[in-house]
Amino acid sequence: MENKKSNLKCEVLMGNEAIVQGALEAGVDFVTMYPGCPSAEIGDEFGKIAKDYGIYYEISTNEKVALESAVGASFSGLKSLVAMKNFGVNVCSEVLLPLLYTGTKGAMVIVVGDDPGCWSSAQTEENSRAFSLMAHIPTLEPADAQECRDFVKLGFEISEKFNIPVMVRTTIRVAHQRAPVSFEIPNHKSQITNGKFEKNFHQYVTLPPRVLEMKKELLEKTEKIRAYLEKSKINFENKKSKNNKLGIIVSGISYLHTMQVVEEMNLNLSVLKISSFYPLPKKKIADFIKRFKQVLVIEELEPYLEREIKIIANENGIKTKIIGKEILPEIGELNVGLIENAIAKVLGLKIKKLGNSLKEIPAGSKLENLKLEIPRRTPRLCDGCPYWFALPVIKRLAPENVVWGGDIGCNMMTGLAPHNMQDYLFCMGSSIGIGHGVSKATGKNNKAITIMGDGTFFHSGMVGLINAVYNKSNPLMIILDNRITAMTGHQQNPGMGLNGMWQSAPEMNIEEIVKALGVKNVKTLDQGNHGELEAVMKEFLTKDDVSVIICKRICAILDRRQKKN
Amino acid sequence: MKQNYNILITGVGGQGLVTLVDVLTKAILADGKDVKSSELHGLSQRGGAVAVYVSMSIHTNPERSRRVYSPLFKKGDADLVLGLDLLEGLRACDFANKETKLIINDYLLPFIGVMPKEEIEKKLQEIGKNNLYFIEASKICKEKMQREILATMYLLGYAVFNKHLDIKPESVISAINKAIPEKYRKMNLQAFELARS
Ligand SMILES: Cc1ncc(C[n+]2csc(CCOP(=O)(O)OP(=O)(O)O)c2C)c(N)n1
Ligand code: SF4
Repeated sequence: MENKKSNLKCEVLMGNEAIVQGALEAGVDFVTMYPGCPSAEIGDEFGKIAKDYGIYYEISTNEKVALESAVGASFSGLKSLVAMKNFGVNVCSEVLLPLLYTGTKGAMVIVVGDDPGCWSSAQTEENSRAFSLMAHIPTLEPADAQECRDFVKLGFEISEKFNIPVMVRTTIRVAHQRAPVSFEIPNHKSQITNGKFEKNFHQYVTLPPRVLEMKKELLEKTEKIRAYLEKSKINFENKKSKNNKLGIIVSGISYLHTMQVVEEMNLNLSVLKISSFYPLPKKKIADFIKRFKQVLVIEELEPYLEREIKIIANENGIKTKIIGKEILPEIGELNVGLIENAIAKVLGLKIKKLGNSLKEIPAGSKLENLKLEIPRRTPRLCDGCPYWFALPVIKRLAPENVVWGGDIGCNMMTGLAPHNMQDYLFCMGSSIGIGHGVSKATGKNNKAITIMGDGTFFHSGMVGLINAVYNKSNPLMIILDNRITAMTGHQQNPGMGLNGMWQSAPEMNIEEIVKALGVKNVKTLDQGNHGELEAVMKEFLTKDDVSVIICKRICAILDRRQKKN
Repeated sequence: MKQNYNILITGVGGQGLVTLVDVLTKAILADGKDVKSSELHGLSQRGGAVAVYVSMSIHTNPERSRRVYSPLFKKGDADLVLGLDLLEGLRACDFANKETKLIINDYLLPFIGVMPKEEIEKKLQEIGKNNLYFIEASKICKEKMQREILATMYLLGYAVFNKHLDIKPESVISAINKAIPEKYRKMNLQAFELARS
């Protein structure tokens, strides 16, 4: 649908596409990211279109470097966007915290994707909003694809106005939601080499005692941003009702579920949507909650918003009862059903269970039984995956006292049947780091064999290997080099010879790196070469120092794709 | 009062569900209706079960209170199930009710521990009764176009041409033209049209 009068358009976009759209409209110059679900498509899209807009796009080595890269661009006056998944914030937090002290020059938006329910994540059900509080970073939470586009634009505006990075926090049902979005066709073209670093020792150097002054400035800035957000229409009351029994405060995707329930059940309730989790519009919240006997806070995961609202009530001497997590789960995502039940419970309403669902069919209803009987379809390695070749050999040759170290990627399916080769699984790069500890602590009692992908080796695996060499332990490290970062949707990595925009780039040779780190026993071989793998593994298992076997063969999906093109 | 028409699409990672939801949501907007969908990428796609939720407004240009808000609907609230795989079609029945139309691809991607095909079909029949349609979408697309992956467009065509899905065929065609890269456009249109007969 094209609007002839202006350059306004309305199209169905996925949340992540809308984020890209918002950044283009804001005139972004410099985009960095590290892939992960549910934010990977933001980078993938820039990888395709960056050149057309004169934008610089890179897939960085990890999230810390991605943010550092953007800081450099920002201090040089460029507008930057950084994208990562929730765990990425852990990795880059070391840069993030001081960045709030120094502030930005060119505007910067950091998009972070959370995954309540762990649909596409291992590790933990992380709630990145904790970092908003710790780092004092202004944080906007879109609920739908339209807000994804709008909030990224607004994020750049706030960043520009207050010289501060802004976080846009999505969740999987926002990032992977499709909905109509109204947007403008951007017409700018970037010229990134136009950046210029203007020295500013006072602002960019976090040496003490200046650093404490910087903290003071940050806290003052936060209050100014709070005042700005008090007036912003992103924190709004959608339904305004005279009913003073119950008010509802929602954030993120819960807003959409809640409105669905309120409209379908025709409830006469006031709903306040809070889009700026940090800093919160305290006055708007206080004015809202004092109108009701009870306020229900609906948010996913830990009750960070609920706690803040309780503090606001306390500070203002408001006696309203604030409820939330006593009737809504802290684990997993929320949905229409859970919210319907919670509201009904507070209002003392009885809802007809599941409408005209099958569950109402009397005797003979098979559904409850059926549910139990449907076998689970667990994820598995693709047909033709190179890992199918190497894993059985490695398993067969492993000594009985083996401790299997797992890592993140397609290769983490070593933890599932039929492989069952995993005794611990943490986060990217930790297979070798923990394997070193096991090796040190157990001596000859156990043999640590760790399995890691090539992408993860570059991300954070290398430092763990250095530690094992330097502090002399003897795990056997297997690097499954499938020539790409596969799990997250096939992104380029430093071992591929291609950069984020699919241009040729220096190709890092894993074996050379491993050797340079001081590993004596290292061998690169083809995953399909059982004979060689067997011989090398037998030899390396007798060694008293660290050994590394690089099992190389291209990911089957990448291979098929390359042959098709 | 329920105010959306809810579609649950289920299948296995790699069957083309993401393309299908892209086309379907664009078609719904082209039809003048409001729409929201939710899909999964990543881990769940490596041969795991995938469910995509699509809700559309019943009316065109709906007033504010009749918009589609949530991209997820409740158990029992699906109006239409498009199953790209028999077992995944059965799994979707958790979201079905007595009136739900079940359009199921007669196709089973086996895995260790899968139920026998006959048993799945029997269970589907018990649930779906007169509202159940087994469609040989993969088979037809393989025979006529050498591409099983086009089963998605065939199933969509079946639902549209048989009025199980209130969207004009022209809207789907315009959506395919918009969503599918030129190289694959023609075959997707063909697979959709194949279901007209
Ligand atoms: C800190 C962090 N960033 C990003 C991710 C998302 N992620 C999951 S798997 C993976 C990549 C794994 O690539 P590789 O090591 O090459 O293994 P492959 O999938 O190719 O087997 C990434 C980046 C994560 N889990 N943690
Ligand atoms: S995407 Fe590639 S690496 Fe991952 S399971 Fe499939 S073939 Fe193996």
